[in-house]
Amino acid sequence: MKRNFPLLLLLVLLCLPSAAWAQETSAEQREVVEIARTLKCPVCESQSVADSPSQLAQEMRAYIQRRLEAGDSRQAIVQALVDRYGEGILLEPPRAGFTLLVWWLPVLSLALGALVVGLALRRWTRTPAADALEAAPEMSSEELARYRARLADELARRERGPA
Amino acid sequence: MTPADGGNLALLLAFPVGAYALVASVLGLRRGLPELLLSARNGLVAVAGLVTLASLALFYALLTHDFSLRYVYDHSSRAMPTLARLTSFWGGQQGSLLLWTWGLSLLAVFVVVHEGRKAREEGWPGPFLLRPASAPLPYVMAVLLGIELFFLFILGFVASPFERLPMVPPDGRGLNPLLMDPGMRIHPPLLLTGYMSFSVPFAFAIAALARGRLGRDWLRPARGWMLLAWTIQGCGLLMGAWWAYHVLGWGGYWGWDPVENVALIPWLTATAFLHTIMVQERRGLLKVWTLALAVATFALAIFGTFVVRSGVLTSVHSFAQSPIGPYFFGFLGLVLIGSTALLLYRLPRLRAEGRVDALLSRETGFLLNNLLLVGMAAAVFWGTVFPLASEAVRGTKVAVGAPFYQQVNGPLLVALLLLMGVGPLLAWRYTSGRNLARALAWPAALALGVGAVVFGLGVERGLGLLAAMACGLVVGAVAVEYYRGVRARQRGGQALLPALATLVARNRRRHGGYVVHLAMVLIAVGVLGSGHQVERTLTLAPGESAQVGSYTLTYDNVYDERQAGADAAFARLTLAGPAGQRLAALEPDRRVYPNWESQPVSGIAINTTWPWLDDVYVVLIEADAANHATFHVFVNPLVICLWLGGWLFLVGTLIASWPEARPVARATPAVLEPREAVASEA
Repeated sequence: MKRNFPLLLLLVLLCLPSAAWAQETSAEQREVVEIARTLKCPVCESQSVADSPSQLAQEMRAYIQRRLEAGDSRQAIVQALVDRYGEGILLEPPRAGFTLLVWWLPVLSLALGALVVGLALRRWTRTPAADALEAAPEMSSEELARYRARLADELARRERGPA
Repeated sequence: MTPADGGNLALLLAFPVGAYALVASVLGLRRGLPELLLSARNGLVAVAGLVTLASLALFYALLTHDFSLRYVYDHSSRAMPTLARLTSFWGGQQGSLLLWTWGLSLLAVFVVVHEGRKAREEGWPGPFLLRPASAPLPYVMAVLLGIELFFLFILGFVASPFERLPMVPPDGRGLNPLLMDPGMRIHPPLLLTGYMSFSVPFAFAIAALARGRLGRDWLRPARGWMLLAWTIQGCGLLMGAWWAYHVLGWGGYWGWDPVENVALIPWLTATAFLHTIMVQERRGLLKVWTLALAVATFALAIFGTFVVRSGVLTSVHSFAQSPIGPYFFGFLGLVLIGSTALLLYRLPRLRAEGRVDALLSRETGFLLNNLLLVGMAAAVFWGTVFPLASEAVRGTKVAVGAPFYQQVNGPLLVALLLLMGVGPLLAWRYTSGRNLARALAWPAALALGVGAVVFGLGVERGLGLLAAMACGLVVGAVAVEYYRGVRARQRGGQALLPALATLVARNRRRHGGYVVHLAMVLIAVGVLGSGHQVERTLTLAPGESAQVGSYTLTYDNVYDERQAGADAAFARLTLAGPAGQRLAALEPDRRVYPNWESQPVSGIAINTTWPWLDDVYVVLIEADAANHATFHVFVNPLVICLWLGGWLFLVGTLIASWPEARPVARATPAVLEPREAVASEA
């Protein structure tokens, strides 16, 4: 029990309820932020519409909210903004046409890497060369016990050190 | 002659001196002339001295408002406080490159001095450069000098920090106020130092290739220097996150901005290097791969250095038009082609000494680790350069932002965490399924417990839940490793704490590594927690309250004050917890600097609530004449874990890199003195 105390402490710490998770923001406001997160603020260096304090980003957030209140779909709102400011405001490149590349290349390169690693492992583990492990003569348990005792002995001597 | 002229002259002189030293070191090596090697070493020191002079001259010009220099005019002004003017040194491209070069020239001297001290401690009589164990050093010197020369060429002839203006303007343009924050005094120099230090492990790799000695000898110094560079770069990245969080005011700490990305990529490949190097040390495997990682990390660091202050990633045109662009790409090409050719030439000597005996082994764990880390690096690199590719190919600009990186890297990061939980429990060569299952029992139980708790808290999305469980697994795995080690020593009769201390001291690398793993868990917890951010924009009249998350903010009043050359408005708020208890007073402010009126700077008020560990993060957007104030408020759960993780990261790397005691040197101090005299004479 005593030994497991740090683990328990950790569990207790992890159990502390985070106050933020308990609360509810209105679903609509959350959706505004969600949409704004996927759009680049057109006048900023590299901030999303959700994060940017600029005038334009504020107007765009208000616009998203108005259209949501009017019952428009997320797609329609984003499309309207893209028509106005260009495809360059999409922080999440569309999964179609040329920008499909940006999504697939990491996946492909990872798959390729996995293939290489897999093949290398296969080749290595299947080489018929005399396996050192197998070739090593089995040690009798008696011998093993003797070695263990010697090891413990020498470890203890080392620990005490030459001072 | 003004000090700036002197600096310019020193910088221009450094180039031929460096060139001489490079030629001397190569000739000395080829002809076997020790005198030339020693002369090359002196040249290396002289370059460091000259670049130091140039740097001091630039500092002096900034301090004395020498606006006849374009650099001083562009990046400072009379209104700026002294300390802020010093940060102007690395506020622009030329100064940043000068800092890089200055750092490398000093580090190169340090590498040589360090080697000399080791030789002296071993009692080597005479010049240490002639000691057999120091044989790679002249090669290392030559590579470092080559890199320095390239930068000296850029600084002297392409992008000089000492460029004059045709006439002297009365005042400078000043520095972007966002860059005047105290965080900026540390973060950019740290990253530039990190980028620059990746040169040393690269130099050792090239030295090993050039000499054809590709056994374990080169790994030890390369690992040590890589660990140093990796630590500095890691701290730089964390400092950057901290600065973004505390200064930029958008409630986050990492924006997947190109400049951040290019700093992260070499750090990822360096992480892969530090892991794979263990496979080569232990088993003599993956030799080509380890070398390739050292080269790639350096090339990516050069790429990052180039990108960091040039804004070239914003468009193809600025990329092509940047005056230093072609040179950087030429240099990068040279590095990559040269290294690859050398690698191919030495391929016959790079055969694996052994093989992977079983799929379930530590070796496989490291291979997967490398696959994931390099996969992440490739994904981030691709996302960063894709907008350029798109513009070049189709002529349309696209943005690749946070959603892309989160979706691509999220699964990889979770896989990496899971591997971090399993890997340390795998034995070298071969682990039986049963042994692994036994070792994994406790960590898995912890992971399930954490998963249940997090699920109870309302995290139901698969990946977040899996990540939280993976964190539990890592903590469990590290705990099991320590428990095993300590218990073995306790059986030998040691008490708990001494057992722990000797366990760590006996294998610093390994246990430092585990501490770094724990730090990564803390950072992961911070990242996961901050995903549950709550955000609200409030407009309040004095005395009014509003609810954000389960916290209540009461706006008290606002007042104006002139501070540090800026007009500032301060708002006072009171923060109350879920039960209505008063937690803290918050004072966000908003400053307007002269020359930068369109870009007001927010002083953000952050309070970490205890025991919930939420950051309540308040930004003052504006206050009108009627004292109504608008605030942007965020509640960021667990972000504090990021910074705690950062400190733990530093502790772990310090444990891992703490030099081993050298018993030989300590045993015979009396004998050393005369030899020291000989060595310093030489």
